[in-house]
Amino acid sequence: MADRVPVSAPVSGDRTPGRPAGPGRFGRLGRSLREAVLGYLFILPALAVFAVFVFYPLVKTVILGFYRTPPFPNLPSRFVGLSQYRSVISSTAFLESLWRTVLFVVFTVPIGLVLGLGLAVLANQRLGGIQIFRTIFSSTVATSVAVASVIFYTLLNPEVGLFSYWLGHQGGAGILNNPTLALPAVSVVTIWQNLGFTFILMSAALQGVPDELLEAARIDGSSQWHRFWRVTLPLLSPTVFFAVVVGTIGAFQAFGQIDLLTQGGPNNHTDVLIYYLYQQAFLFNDTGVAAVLSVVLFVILLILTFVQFRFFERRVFYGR
Amino acid sequence: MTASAVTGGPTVSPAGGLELPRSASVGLEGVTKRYGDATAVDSLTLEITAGEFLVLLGPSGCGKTTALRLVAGLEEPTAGLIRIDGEVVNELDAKDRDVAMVFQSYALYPHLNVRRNIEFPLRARHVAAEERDRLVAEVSASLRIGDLLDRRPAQISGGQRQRVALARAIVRRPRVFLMDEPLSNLDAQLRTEMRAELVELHERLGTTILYVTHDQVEAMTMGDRIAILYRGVLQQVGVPQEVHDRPANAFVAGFIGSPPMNILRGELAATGIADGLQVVLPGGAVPLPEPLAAVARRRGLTSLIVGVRPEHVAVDPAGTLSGSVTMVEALGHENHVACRLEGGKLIMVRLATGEPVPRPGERVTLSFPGGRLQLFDPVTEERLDG
Amino acid sequence: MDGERSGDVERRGDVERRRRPVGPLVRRILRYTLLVVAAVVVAFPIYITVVNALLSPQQIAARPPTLFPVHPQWGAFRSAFTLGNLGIFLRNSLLVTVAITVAEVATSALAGYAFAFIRFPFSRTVFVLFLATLMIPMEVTLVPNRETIVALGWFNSFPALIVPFLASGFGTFLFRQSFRGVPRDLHDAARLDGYGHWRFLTRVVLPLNRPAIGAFTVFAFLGAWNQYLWPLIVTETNGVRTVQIGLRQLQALSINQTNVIFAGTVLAALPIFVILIVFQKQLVRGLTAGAVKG
Ligand SMILES: Nc1ncnc2c1ncn2[C@@H]1O[C@H](COP(=O)(O)OP(=O)(O)O)[C@@H](O)[C@H]1O
Ligand SMILES: [Mg+2]
Repeated sequence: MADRVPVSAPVSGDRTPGRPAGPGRFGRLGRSLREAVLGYLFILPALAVFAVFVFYPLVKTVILGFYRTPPFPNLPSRFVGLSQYRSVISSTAFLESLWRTVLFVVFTVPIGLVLGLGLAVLANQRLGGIQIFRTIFSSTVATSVAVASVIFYTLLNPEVGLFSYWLGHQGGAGILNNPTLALPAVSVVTIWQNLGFTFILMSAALQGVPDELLEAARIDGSSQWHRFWRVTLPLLSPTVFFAVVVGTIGAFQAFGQIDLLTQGGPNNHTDVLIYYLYQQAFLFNDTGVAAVLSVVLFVILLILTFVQFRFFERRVFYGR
Repeated sequence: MTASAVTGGPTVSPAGGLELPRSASVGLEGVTKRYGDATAVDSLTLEITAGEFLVLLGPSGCGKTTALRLVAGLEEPTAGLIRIDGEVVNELDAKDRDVAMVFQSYALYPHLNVRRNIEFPLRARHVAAEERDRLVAEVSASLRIGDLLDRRPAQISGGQRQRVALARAIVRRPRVFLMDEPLSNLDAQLRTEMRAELVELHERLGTTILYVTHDQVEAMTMGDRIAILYRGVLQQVGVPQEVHDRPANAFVAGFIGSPPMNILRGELAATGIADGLQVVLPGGAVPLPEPLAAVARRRGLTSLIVGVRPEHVAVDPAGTLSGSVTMVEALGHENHVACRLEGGKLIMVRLATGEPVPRPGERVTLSFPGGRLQLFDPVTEERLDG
Repeated sequence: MDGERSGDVERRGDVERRRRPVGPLVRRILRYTLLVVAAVVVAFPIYITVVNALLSPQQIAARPPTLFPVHPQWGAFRSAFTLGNLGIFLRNSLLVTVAITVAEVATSALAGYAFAFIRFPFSRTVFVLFLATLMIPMEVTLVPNRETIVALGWFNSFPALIVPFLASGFGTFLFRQSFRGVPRDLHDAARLDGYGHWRFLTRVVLPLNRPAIGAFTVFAFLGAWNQYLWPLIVTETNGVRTVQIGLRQLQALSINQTNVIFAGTVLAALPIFVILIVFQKQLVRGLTAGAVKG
């Protein structure tokens, strides 16, 4: 240690000689009270927003479902208890829209996942210029649903659309007006629009696979193909699971592509749950029915989120 | 807290530069801290005088850190009073207690360079920039880290980080330093160096230091006094020599010394010569010297705990304890020999260089020359004194 | 959310190179072929969008189609601003998105800090409430929320687009997790040094958690920019509509103006493309937060 040690005046800042020593200004209770007040001040902005725009409207939605909206504006809505829930849920229109939503999920989620994973595997190699390919594969994250939909809408235009031409649908009503092809077409747009995200997700997961494991398998003499199926894929399974759940939740909320591409048509063939809800709420102003549909959608999303949470929790707390 | 609360010093000289002993006594009175059902610190009563270097020693998990955090004001005691400079500070915020802490992890802010780290407490107290620069320059020069001021903690060595942590504590000139195993992350050689530096620093600053460690060598070499904590309970307080020579109980005895004292349970038996007593230990019987035998007789004991320091055990062909050598540690200046007694119990023997060293596996007999034993009650494990 | 993801990529790349020095030429060619085909398929819609934005409507309609921007014309972009009001829409989007992003980061950081460092009664319960908001997307509360907006007199105004999104359960959760990584000793040291919660947050916690903040900022920006359904139902005039809704109007242009439609989509996507290029790391972290690691 050097020869001099600081010998300066004590630095005790705002200590004023007059202040009483001992119990301090606030005391133990005062201190924890101050702490509590501060805690609530910190969460208050977020809590206020949630109270007004999340919790209150959720309760309100459930309640609205008990009231039948009158056929003409300015008449009072009528309390009908659970009967509206019953009638909406058992209605053909609802069941058909739910079925179409399920179809939409089935069309978009597995294919999107396989494509995203495939691209990730393809881009996960050491080759010159691979970064360019990675950027291209991620590029669709930059296109919003609206951007993707408008692009495809125009490319599928029966008169001037390039894709219509290539697919032999030039002239006529067009693919988006074809009852058989409309939902698949919307699904393709959705898959494409989500591809960048899925690719990024899967690439990150692939890079999380420890090299040692793959090297160990290599030393054990397993082929590249075998390594992928037996080592890489099992290690990716949590991410795959996450992607499935998130993709399904996203598919249940997919609105923009329907609104821009088909508006539920042709003849309701793309009228998925959320679009049906939107029409009831804002085109037909039937808040009662829309509220019931909202509650149903909420329950579905709740179950899906719950599945994800359970899994997520297990992975976080027991996995690592 | 007024400036005149400072023990033995005049009030603050505005210009600084005045040799000003800043130290305060610390008192704990029946301090208890419980977490749920677990008691981390159990009615701890301890008086640390102003300017003292007191080492709080104990094995991992015994409540040392908790005790320190209680004094710092980072935790609130479940019961008991904490005084600094005689005043009860239970209700005082950590920042108002005028104590500084050096953390085991150093707790340097990784995103700030060394200068900003040292300045941190000064900025909190709105010390003027000039004064700040002067203080940082002074303290960093004295700790030989003046040339590191622009580096980030990640860019300096462990020993240097340690100094920065010290500098950040010193720059405030607090009344009390609290140090939580500050050397435990250093390599052995650096640790030995820093021990000396800390002692020297204490002599210069004269500030009270409450120093926590689980390393009894640190405790013995650094502390004015040592307080030994075990399972949250204070076992003994005393100057190093006293703790070493007269351990209050079997736990302290077995914790202090390198290697620590051998603790053996034995039965008392008559030697048959006059009313002499001997202790029957796992590997044989050893006679109990008279003053100790008298103690045992007076208490009417039939069994007891015997403590014997490794340096007070000899490999002796005429010895009465037999066992076999399991391991020999050659340290250069001395040798440690571990013997397994016939009952299975291990006993350590410390041999000065020059004394013949048995080989591992060899059968030996041991004796306790001069009968330098310590006796402990078989039930309470308390020291038995004359 | 892991540290240097792109760094990992490079390191792993090196390892692979050492493993297989130069594969057989055929395999390399095969790999490149696959990559190029995939890239063409994925990027084609974007490519043709840009090309068409630079072509005349006649060229777009011509058969066989024009796949390269021969004689590029930039007029469509000008038309996107005049005919399509893209200028106003982009300005509105930017305003709304920046406001939402800044506010979301701020409220999430405050709440995340409180849950990580401040002891207050019912903090666990309130935290669960915050998590619960993740299960209640705007889609299921549209009806009453629009009523609230109308009741507040905010219909067709910027507050309608901004205020409901001033907080984020996900951001709070992310920040709480990240902030809890700050060692307790640092918090204690700061307390002893005289730093209260506010200054500890601003001087220590925020600087130390830049990666998480960067990731969430990009995430929030993207989410706000891409909103569609909510802006659709609470706005009715171009003065406050965002670019996503603007595209809806643009799409309705006649087939003689497809080049303007394409130009409009290019303009609407451009800000996010810039982010994709400039903040690639944060974007990847933001999008994968909660998935790969949490
Ligand atoms: N915040 C806490 N919550 C619960 N138990 C704790 C907490 N802090 C310490 N303990 C417990 O108190 C005991 C003493 O801990 P500590 O003071 O850290 O010991 P030491 O520093 O001597 O190793 C340990 O058993 C520990 O598990
Ligand atoms: Mg400790």
